[in-house]
Amino acid sequence: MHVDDASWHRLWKDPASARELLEHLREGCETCDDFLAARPELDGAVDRLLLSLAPPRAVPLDELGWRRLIAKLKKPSSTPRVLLAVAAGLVLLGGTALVLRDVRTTEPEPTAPGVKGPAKLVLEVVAARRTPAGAFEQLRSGDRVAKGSLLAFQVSSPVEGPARVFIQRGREAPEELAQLLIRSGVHQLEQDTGLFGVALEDERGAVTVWVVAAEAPFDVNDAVKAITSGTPSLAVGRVEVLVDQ
Amino acid sequence: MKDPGGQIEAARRGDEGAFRALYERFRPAVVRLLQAFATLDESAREDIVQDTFARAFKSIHQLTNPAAFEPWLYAIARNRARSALTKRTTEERTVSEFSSGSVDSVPPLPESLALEVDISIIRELIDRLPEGPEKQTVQLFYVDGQLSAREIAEQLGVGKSAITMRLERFRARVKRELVLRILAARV
Repeated sequence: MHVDDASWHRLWKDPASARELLEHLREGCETCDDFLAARPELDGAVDRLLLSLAPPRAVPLDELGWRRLIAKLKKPSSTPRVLLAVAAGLVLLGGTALVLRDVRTTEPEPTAPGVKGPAKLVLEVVAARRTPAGAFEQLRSGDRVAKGSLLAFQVSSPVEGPARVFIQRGREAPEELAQLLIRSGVHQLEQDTGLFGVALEDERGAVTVWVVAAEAPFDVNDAVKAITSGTPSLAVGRVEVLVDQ
Repeated sequence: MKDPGGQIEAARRGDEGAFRALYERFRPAVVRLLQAFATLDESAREDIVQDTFARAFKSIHQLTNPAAFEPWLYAIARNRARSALTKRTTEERTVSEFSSGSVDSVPPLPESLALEVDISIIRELIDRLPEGPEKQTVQLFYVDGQLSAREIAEQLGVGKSAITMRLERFRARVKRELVLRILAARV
């Protein structure tokens, strides 16, 4: 018995139910250590402890590095603006029958050659664009939208739990935008402060918004793997738009 | 670490002076962390340091608990280093390469991370290691804290990646200990 993805999540969710595995870990096991080494959780905590072992060293101020850093920070970001509250009381097209036809079902996207394996849990995502008049109109995947458009999202999720939202420009690597909690069933994507939305201000061309969700916490690498190749325990959905100049 | 001087809180509000203070305070530790990756040269390491702080400062407003800043920063640095090394060692477009674009959001840490683990536990783990290359490497890198993994490799006359592997193996032991202590408190 060694720790794997499933038992790892079980350990955190309900440690009492995994006493046997805890005992096994306590005894020390190279296979399990290899698994733990590859997990990103606690990496920072481990490093904090290890780096505090040695006496601190006097290090001269890195003025040049600071100047480079501050220049980088002042450079405008290409990340789309994530809106915390799009509009109070927004009703996203008022229905529950909003299902995009091209939500992935069995085949992975061709963005990760050589990586195969379907996602078993399909999360359906639908986007809506805010019109100049302030109303929202439903988009079909592949629809063209103007640069600067504001999108809101509705999901139909088979799971309840944490979700991660990503944006993918063309075939670039997906970039995480937000971490949310979702319910099972059909509802709008929301953050603590209101409806979740994305402003496509600096975008151009094909833009895909991905939503990955699960019943238990999962890390960003697992989410990316689910997007690129499918992971049975994670539900994945997407919607794609073409942003005009 | 709480938030002495309120630097993290000020940085959350976008205060440039606070950014600078945090950069000065944590840069040495981030450099030290990256020195464990023996195959990273100095130029690549410096790029990762810059990238780490840029990503951290751009996202710091999302950090609700100032005490989480330090491990969060280190997790970003480690992710960036791994991504840089993955990119260098493969020509193929892999899942790992995809991951490199999204690591600025750090893996979620359990709330119980606030648990303060006495540093003596780590010292005890080192003491319990059998005498040999792993213990020697861990002592040189983490306890003495003077030499980089590259320098240790030269001093001991072994390959660079052997040193990184020994350090990684010990990190896994520490992680296991941390996991057990956190979970023991919840059972």
